[in-house]
Amino acid sequence: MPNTTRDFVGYGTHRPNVVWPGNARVAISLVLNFEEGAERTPLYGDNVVIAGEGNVVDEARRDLQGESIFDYGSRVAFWRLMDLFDRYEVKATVFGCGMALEHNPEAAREFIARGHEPVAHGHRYAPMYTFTRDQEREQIRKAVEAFKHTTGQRPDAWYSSGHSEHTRELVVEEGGFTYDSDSYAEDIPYFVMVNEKKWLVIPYNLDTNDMKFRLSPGYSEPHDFFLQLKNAFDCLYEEGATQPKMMSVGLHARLSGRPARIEAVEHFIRYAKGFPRVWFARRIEIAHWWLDRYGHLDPLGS
Amino acid sequence: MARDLVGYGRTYPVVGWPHGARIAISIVVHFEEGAESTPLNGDSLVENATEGILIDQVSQVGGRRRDERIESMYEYGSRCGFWRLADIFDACDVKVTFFCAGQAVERNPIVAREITTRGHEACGHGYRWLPYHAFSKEEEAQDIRTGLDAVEKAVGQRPLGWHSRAATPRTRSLLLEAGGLLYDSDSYGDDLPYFARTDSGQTLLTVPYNTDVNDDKFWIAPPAAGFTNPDAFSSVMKATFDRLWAEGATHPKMMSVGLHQRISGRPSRARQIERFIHYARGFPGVWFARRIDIARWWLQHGPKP
Repeated sequence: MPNTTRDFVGYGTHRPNVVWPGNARVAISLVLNFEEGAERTPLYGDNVVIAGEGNVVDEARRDLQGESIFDYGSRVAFWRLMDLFDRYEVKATVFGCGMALEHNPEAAREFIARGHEPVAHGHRYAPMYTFTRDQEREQIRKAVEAFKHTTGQRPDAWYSSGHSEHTRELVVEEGGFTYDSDSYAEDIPYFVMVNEKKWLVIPYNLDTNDMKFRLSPGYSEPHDFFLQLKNAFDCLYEEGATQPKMMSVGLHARLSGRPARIEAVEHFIRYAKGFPRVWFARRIEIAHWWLDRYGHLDPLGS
Repeated sequence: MARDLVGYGRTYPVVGWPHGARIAISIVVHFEEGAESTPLNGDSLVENATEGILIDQVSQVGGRRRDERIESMYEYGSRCGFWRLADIFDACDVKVTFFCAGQAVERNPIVAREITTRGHEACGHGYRWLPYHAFSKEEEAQDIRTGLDAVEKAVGQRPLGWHSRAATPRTRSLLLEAGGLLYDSDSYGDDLPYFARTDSGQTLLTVPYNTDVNDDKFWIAPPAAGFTNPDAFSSVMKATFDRLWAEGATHPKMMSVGLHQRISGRPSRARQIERFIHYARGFPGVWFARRIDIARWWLQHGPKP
């Protein structure tokens, strides 16, 4: 059954009093999107081309230089970010596309070895709403297979690059996932009902997200991204004195892993680490904490 | 042509640069003015990379209407921008690489000669400044040959490198067929040179370029993000340098800075280039190099294909 409902109320006036580990005021989830090598290009039979940086692609033909912008993400920038996370002893969540992992299995094994969380992000880096329901099911299966095949581990959760009315139901049906992040609608996790099953959503966002480096109006320079992160943190930290919140930081290797931009990420990690009661967490840790402490909460929208 | 998403992987090579430099900086100036798309050159479209004039490519088709405002923005690059930038390079004593479109250097032979006289490198950049996708294989091969010949004639030296406005899967093979080239810069995929494979399995050294430390972000059209002011470009140059210089303590890297005569040659922007050069010069272990110098060094000291 396609999900045709929307929920404009959410927690409303019944916002739960969240307590994070260590009494943290903000839980920060760093997310590394690992999509390089799964993006749409005629090389993989697509009739659409995805721009990697500033290049604007208006025809369905291979854009080799554009592809190499993605290649940079997997070959070089991925390692730069891995080393940054190690240096600051933070663990991230990797939203990985199955096909991207297959194109660089060494990188796939490495992020697992370094303690980052595997989350499936489609097999292809393509919106789920461009697929039929059966194709979507296939995308989910293939992505899970690719994770198992390259890392020996199945993904903990799911995040689409553009979910459809079917996606959540199919993710639940596939099984083995703890949550999905297919929502930008909250500051904290929440439950929904999916076919009689209580299902956990750990919301994500697109504003504290480096994708704005390639969009207009977007981030003109690295400092713009830092400011966005800092402002979001400052607001949530202040609110977190009474109502602890969570903050997602969306990164892409090909964007934030550029030499010029990694500074913004590093600067932000240092900034946030300068405050007491900040919990850098993988999403699965947030999910487990939520299920343990708040598993009794009613699903929203029902 | 297959893709390589692994590259050097975690075993990044330590090759180093002359005199133990930690970073090689290649400044590139695009010299395209006069080779851009305009009905004056028989094209059906007006060039849509402009300083603030929005061109609707679709409604233009069949129109063949010149836009002399846009043409004059390009003329500025060849007439004024070149001299301003070239004087800055002389004052700072750095040698750079010019990506030369054949038809552009033909239109301004005085400037073309000046490139060689001042010790800069002229690298091939097509005869016309057009993407190759709309070209047949024969047309593409022809544009490469004519481009190389035109640059050789105008600047007095045969180019040893190549950068396409937009390459096709066959471009690299056609470059090898044209002969005499030591490298191309048709990849944004790495921080160091590497041997790229052609669709027929041959190899050609690629000295990778980039699109983020590039002044074309001043001119880029929505929906892409651009630089909102000259300082934004400065901060990207500086941040890139800082990071690569730091990494260069153990793994020397290279940095490309992409400039266009019509863009960074503007009075509002040229100072940023000069300031960046001074900034980088303030550090030890910095090698300002032409791309051909980097290519030759890599061919001699880098890992073999």
